[in-house]
Amino acid sequence: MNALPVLIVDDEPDLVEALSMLLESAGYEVLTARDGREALALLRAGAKPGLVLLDLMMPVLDGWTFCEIRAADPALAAVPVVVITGAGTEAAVRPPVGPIERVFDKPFEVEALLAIVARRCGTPDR
Amino acid sequence: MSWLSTSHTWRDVAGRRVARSTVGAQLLFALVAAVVGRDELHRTWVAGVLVAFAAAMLAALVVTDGRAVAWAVVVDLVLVAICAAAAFGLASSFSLVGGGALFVARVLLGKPSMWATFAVLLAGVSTVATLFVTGVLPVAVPGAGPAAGDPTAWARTTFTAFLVIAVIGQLVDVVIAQMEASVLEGEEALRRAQRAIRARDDFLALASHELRTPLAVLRVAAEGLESERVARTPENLDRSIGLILRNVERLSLLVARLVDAMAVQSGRLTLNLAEVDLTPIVARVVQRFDALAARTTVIDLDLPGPVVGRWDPVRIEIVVQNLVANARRYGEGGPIRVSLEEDRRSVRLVVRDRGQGIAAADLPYVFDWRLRAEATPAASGLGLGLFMVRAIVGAHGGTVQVASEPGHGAVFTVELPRWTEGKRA
Repeated sequence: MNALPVLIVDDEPDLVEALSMLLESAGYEVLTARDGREALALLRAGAKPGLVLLDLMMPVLDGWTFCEIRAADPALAAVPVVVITGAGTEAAVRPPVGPIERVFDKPFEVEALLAIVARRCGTPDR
Repeated sequence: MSWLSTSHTWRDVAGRRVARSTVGAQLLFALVAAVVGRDELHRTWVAGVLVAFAAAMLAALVVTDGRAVAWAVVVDLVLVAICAAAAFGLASSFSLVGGGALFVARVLLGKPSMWATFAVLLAGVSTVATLFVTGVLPVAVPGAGPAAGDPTAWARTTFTAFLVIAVIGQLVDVVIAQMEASVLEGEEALRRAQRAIRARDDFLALASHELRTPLAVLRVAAEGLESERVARTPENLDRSIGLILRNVERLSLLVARLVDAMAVQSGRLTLNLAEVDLTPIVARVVQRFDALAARTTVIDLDLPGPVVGRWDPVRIEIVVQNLVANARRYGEGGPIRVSLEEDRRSVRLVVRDRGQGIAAADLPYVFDWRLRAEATPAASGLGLGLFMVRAIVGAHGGTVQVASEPGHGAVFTVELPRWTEGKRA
């Protein structure tokens, strides 16, 4: 398995489970975090995801703050981020800091998400 | 002395105008009576009494801040009529009382209407006609009028002219008041409509946000299976079915809550009352939370046995559910205590948590519909929970109160009358 793992950062356990099942079935290793703080902890502990799927509205540390911290930290700035947002205009009204691969509005098309994951993390061997 | 100030509602407008013009007219009559009264005795006491009444009415209005308008005017008019009869004869006093009574009716009955304006016009015309018929109003043309040299004839003419001017003035007053009232009403209606539209927009934005997450879960789960991107292993099938069922349930609950919230907003929440026992409802909700929380939060129950009353069981369950959910959300994992107390007339549901509590400054707004679009930490849902608690309890004729000391948790107390007649929220 040569593909990079995917990090899902979302406080909705059901969405995390559904996405994990989808990505694991495709052969990806999935890391999960319930909020921005857990995600930062994982990244600083050495996790090297090929892509972060980031929710914006989360408790403890939200997606916007996560992006600010990412942009300010050279060690994290290179991690590609896809935003998955609940409110359609949320990301447009208040765009997160730093480069964002793409913004997906819930509910989003599964194939489009898989395509971007494949582009960033590679295609798993099997 | 707000009754003298710029008014805010039609009732204030009408009430204050009537009060002001009545006091003014009274002083005018006092002056006229002092000059043209039948004899010295009448001139003195009628004028004196009228001035005293005007002063008393002013005092009453000031003391009651204008609330005594209607009754002050009623009492006043009767007294003015008696004095007018004494000074000028019975006939003119009838038309005075008639006109005055119509004013009072206008203040008491409500909006200044076309009918009120018409009634005042009629009173004015009848007053003048009565004065003609009774000879109080002479034709004040030199040489054609009453005996030359009769000084009271000129005085009566002057009085009548004053009276006619007063009636016309009052008529104009009514018309202006009516116009002012419609403008004020229009402005208020516009403000209400704008507030409602803003609330609806915020609500729709938030509602769509809340609906999108379960929809996203459904789409990922269903599309994953359909495209076989998710391997159809027995384990994955079970997980997917679980996800789908849970999120369909979540969507249904959300929609039901939205419909209820909209009913409350538009004042259309109607209760389905039945004789129910509160104890099993509370027990059921707590049991559900126990299962959900996998017993990470301890919920103590203190139930006295059957607590029977006439309530809407579905709505009351929502009340219990929202209060316990709120305690869990802000209780920081500490123990929650749910208790029921009862007496003959009412029952009390008390939910106490041991969390951070609520800052004193926030207490008055706890039951407001808090829009959480600002991404407050630890918050999810529509921010409707406590708003709905208050609406439902209020619809039952009950009350809900919150007490909290920061750092020592919060206590929510719902008091429900046992046999509610049911009111609209």
